[in-house]
Amino acid sequence: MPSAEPAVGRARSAAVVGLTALEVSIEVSMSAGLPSFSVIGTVGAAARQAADRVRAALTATGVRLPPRKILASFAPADVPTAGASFDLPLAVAVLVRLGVLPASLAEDTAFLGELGLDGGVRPVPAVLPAARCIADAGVGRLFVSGANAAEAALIGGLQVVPVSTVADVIDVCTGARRAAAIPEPPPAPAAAVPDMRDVRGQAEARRALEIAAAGGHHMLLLGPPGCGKSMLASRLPGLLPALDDRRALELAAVRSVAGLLSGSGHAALDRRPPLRRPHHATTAAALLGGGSGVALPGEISLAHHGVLFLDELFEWPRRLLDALREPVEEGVVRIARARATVTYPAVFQLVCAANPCPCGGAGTCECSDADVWAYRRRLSGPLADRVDLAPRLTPLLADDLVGAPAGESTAVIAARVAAARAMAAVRWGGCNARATPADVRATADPAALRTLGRAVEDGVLSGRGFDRALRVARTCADLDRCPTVQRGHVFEALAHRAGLRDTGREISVARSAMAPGQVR
Amino acid sequence: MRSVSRMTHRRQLGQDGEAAAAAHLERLGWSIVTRNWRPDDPHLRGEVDIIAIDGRSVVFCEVKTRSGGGAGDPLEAVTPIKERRLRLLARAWLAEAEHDLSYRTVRFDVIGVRWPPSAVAPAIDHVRDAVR
Amino acid sequence: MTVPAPAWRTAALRLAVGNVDVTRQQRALSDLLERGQDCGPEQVVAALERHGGCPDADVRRVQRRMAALGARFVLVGDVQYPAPLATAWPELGAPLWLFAAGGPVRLVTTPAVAIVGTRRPTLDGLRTARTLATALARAGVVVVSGLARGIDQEAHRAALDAGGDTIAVLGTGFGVDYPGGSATLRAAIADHGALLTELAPGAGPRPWQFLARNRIISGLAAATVVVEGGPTSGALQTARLAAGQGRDVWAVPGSINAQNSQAPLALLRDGASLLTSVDDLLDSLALSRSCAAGVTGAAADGGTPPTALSADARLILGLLGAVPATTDELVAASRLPAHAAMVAIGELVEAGCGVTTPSGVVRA
Repeated sequence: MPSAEPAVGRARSAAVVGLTALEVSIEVSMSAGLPSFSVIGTVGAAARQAADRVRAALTATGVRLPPRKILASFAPADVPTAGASFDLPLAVAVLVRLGVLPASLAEDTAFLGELGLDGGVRPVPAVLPAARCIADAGVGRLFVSGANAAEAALIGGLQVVPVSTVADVIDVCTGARRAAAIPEPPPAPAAAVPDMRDVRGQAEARRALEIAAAGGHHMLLLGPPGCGKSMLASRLPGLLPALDDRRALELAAVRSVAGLLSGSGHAALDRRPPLRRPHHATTAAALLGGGSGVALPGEISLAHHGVLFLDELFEWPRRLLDALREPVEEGVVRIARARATVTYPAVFQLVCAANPCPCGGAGTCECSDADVWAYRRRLSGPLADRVDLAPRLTPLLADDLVGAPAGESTAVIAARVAAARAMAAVRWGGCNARATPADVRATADPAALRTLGRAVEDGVLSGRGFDRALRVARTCADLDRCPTVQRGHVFEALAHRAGLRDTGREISVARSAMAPGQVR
Repeated sequence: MRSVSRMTHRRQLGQDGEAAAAAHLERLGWSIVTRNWRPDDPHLRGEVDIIAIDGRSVVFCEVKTRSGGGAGDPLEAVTPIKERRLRLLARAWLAEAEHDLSYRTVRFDVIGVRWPPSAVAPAIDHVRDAVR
Repeated sequence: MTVPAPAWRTAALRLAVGNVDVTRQQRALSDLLERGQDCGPEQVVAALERHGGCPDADVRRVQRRMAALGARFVLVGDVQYPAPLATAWPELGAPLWLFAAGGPVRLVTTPAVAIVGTRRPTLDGLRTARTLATALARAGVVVVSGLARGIDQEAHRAALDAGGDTIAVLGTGFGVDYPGGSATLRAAIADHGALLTELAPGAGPRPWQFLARNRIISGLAAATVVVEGGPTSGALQTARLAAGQGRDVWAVPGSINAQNSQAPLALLRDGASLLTSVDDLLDSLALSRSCAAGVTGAAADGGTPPTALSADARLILGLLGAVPATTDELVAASRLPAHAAMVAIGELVEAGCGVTTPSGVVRA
């Protein structure tokens, strides 16, 4: 039932930059003048073309635009918009101005969607952060394309109305029809989480994986091709606890902005810690985030609260590894753009894999110890300092495969991991890898600290390595259900660092015996 | 054979074996020139177990005594290094020797002596011309 | 052999500075032998004069340099020419001349033993070289080697540390810093032993010269011991030269899995004597064992006595050897859970009983 024509038609929406959304409203006015329909203001190209799409969509719906000068503008005026998400609210604002839809809509309803020339409402990315912003603004209802409905429904306190055409919007808003139920998305395929039971042998690596999971430590898997490095890396997420609401929503927001949530049938919030394994030939933008125009989140953000697996570490370009320094250190990645810097979260655990030595390590290895240390020192740089575990994987012989007992199952190990993580959470609200050195030292036995100190004196550990090894020892103590870090835990932590050898002391020991030096 | 150390026992066995080998050569009609010959040069190591004359040949013999019953090949005793040493020793002896041996040929033999503890008399394996 | 007259010395020095090499010497020698002629040093020098030599200015320059270095030119037949080498002259290819620096080489009554091995030894090989050289030095035996990195230098150093004498046979002339950084060691050897070389001062290293110098190493010693070496190592060649010279050849057995055991194992197969302890060697040289008292090759655990280690650490220690063992291997052999094995490894490294290498853990 048409209502009186207001002076200005208004519709509410939200714009998303990075993961931040802000409220936006679109206003439409009509005046005397040559018939035209244009969008003014500093908006993106797609938004400017919205006028054409809206006109076509309305025509398809049977609403003819009067021959007046129609102007649409955004408030705030300079919305860093992108894409066609504002087609639908723009159409709604026009319909409100025309009296087709009630003006009261602007008080309690928001709209988000792209319009097809046939009047259909299409899904858009970043609906989740937009929906949260809208809900936070106190708006009670959101109209989105059916494909975006499940995503928006993750936000509590918001009534989500799925629509497939502009006609639907008119019908629901005028009360001619009840809002449809959110379409039941197809059940998410129960992706089998790979189980640790499948891993045979590799005692050191399995233990290192458990420590990494329990403390959030970064690790480097060393082994020849085909010995199971990928297999192990892909099993780390399974050992991590399910994401809580906050973390799951953060991850979902990143996926939403990346356009990965719409229509993919995510029935409920995905709480599984993600695993991303980019290829070493990937671009910086794909890895870190960016791309022309819209700064989309990269692999590291898609691995937020999960695992980033870098296989063939020595094939990666140095500049990409260097660029990982900031995200690994700070948990966010900043992508600079002309108008603003977009920030995406990137809190992830790093698993790297590499051959153990220059010859590959398969079969009989002829590399001398000096060759191997020189090779491993190539790991130097931003990542070397951050890796705390470096287990050696040995190739399995056929005999071992037949006779080796199956490893413990993921469930059993995950239980231990969860208990250890709980201890750390109680102690300092996070995992050990992110605890401050002073705090960790305070929980250590003097004998343990002395042992670490001696390792530094002997040149086995660098100064920085002291605190890193101590953090791992703290995790070993947690796994041992021990409130104080003791010598034994330090021993284990040092043994796990053996593949890294901060200062390459083993070379200098052997070389001082082999090379001519001072006659003692 | 009461609490005799193994080393002494082995040395004893070796001496007994050499004696048996010498007796064997004498039974064959050879004349034994010298036993356990060492050169004057201290840097030329080793010794020749038996140097004997067989007809027109001067024979340098290596004696290998075993107490095991199994028939091990006596030739196994002659390793490449051992062979080299025998030749050097032979040449040194020939250089030092005072008798005129220019008309005789030189030969190397290996004599294996198998003497298990229970046996009264040992078994002799005599390999002629073991080193060419 | 009569001492060569001064004229021949100068002629020989001219040949040496002119780098008339071993092959040419031996050819001249065999020529003379074939013709049934006298082949004392003078005759060989005379035969060689046709082939090589150098301007007088060069000879004088070298003489000045030798004076500055305190080096001497020794011809075979000189009193100072090492007696064990002289017995190899002429047929077995002893060098016609030697340049000597340091003390006089008195090997007539004092025996010498050569210790040779690879340039890339394992820690265990280094330990063996040290133990042997120390015991020999304490027993008054001169240790001979080639100053190469690895086993050679360890043997020289251990002999010096034990207060003994050592002779280094160089693959270069004097005044050349090869191997790099060995100047201090060479100086110490000159003080307590001698440096010998067939090459004129300033002559740099060439691959074939090392083979030639190996015959001098083996020729100086009553016995040559090969501690470690790969299948094509120079140490193997030195040992075979020793056998050719009628000297004793000893080899130290290593793990059949280790690359560095290939040379000693091959020699043992060929009939070298098995060296399982220093006593074997000393006995054969008919030396009193009491001189070497207190030095054994058996595992002397320096540092923490085994009883201070935990049971797990002692268990793992018992499994460690000279061949690196990976954690997985130790876990499988000890049947300890992985984390307990790692704790034990860390404990052993801290106590100095074990060393981690890129290929695994080795006994220290």
